[in-house]
Amino acid sequence: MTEWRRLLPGVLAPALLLLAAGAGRADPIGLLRAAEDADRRLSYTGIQTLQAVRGRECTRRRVRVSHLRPDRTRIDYLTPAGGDVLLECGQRRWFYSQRRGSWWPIEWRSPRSYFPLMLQNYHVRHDGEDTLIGRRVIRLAITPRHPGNPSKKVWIDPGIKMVLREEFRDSRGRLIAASAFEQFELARRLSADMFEQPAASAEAPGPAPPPFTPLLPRYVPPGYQVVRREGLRRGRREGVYLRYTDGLGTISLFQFRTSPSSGPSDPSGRRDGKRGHGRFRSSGDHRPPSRQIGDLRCTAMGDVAEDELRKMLDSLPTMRTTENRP
Amino acid sequence: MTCREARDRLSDYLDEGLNATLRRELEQHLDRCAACREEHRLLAATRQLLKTYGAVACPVDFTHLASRMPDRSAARGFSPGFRRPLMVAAAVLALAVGSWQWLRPALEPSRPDGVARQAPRVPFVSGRDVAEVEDLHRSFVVQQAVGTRGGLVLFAPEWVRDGGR
Repeated sequence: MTEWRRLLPGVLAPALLLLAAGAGRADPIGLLRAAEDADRRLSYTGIQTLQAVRGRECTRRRVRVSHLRPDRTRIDYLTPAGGDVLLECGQRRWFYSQRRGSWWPIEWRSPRSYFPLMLQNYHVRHDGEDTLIGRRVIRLAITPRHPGNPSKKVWIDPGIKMVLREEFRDSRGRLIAASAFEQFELARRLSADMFEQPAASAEAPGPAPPPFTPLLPRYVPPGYQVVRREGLRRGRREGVYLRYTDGLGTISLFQFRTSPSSGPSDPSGRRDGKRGHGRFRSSGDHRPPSRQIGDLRCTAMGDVAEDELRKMLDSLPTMRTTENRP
Repeated sequence: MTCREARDRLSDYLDEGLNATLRRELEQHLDRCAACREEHRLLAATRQLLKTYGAVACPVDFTHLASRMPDRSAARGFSPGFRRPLMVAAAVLALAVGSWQWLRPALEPSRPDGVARQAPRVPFVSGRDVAEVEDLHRSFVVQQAVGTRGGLVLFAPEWVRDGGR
């Protein structure tokens, strides 16, 4: 018995250490969920770099972030356009253009959380630990259950449960978007003046309702579901924009009404077939798959393989004209 | 781009309010259309002239009043040959004044943390109106990738630069 008592601390201590170490990494989903809610809990300031990549094009912003919990954020652009400001107050947002010297209300509807959907379609696992800007962080890997979908890595400070870095890559491992804090600190006090709302009399209108009942594909890639549908207008043409997601991956389905005289045209509204001016315009001559169904031009873009997009388009029901439909 | 479309967009063009695609299309049209080029020159010159007189208040019901003006085709005192250029000049001037007042941003905060107290009208930016559909998809992707705010931080300057008014 005496022998056992002498050995007990030696046995228990390593066991407890193992348990403690395991506890820190036992629940990556809980950690990720808590990190999603960080803005409600924390006030902070920092410098953040964000980038979005497509082909050879890369858009990068370096900003100073000042966040006052739960829902006020001021973004001061440092590069490339110093002096510009983005202001969030609850669900309302404005952009101050230094060049134009004025505030602009911006329509940007926050999506509801797709977290449960993401968990259905992706694995979340502990992927290691790193040190970022002097903080110990846990790296989580979010990988798809269905092949062909994107993946993500997230670096979270486990103490405050805050995302300090994230990288989003396509199924081939190419970087699509990333964000990282270069500086970060919790703020004890932030002046409310920083978040004063512009005295804007005009409200950014909400998204337009679809001008006609869109065609819904009978086939949708595994895990995806439609999460948003809204009206669109490109010049004089009207259409519907359907968004699908599996929680992380995205598919956009555009349906534009074409008049007999205009004939089939591409979704950018150009009849010469050239692509739009978009900042993220794809390089090369690659065009997203399209189908002409009745008087609708349907175009799909997405993170999944192009065969999947074509399959989706091929599953759209043939239809009568949308002219007199609601 | 047709002449009518080009002329509809001249004011926006002069205000640097067109997105890159429309700007390019308009400039190509101006390169090959002498009539529209002249229209552009005239509008630009008129606006330049107006600037020298400072801001002119435009009644909010200007269009309504104009539509109710009696038909002056039988007006006395002007020969037909003299009346037409005068009417064109007046129309261009009215268009320029109206466009100028309509398009000029009404809010002009003097400092980033300061906010204008009087806001008769605020220009509106909508990603839906401005971005090409491909950009819409990209914004969706980026929003999923780095969060709603991340997407907004990346896209908002483009929206305002390309189409904000």
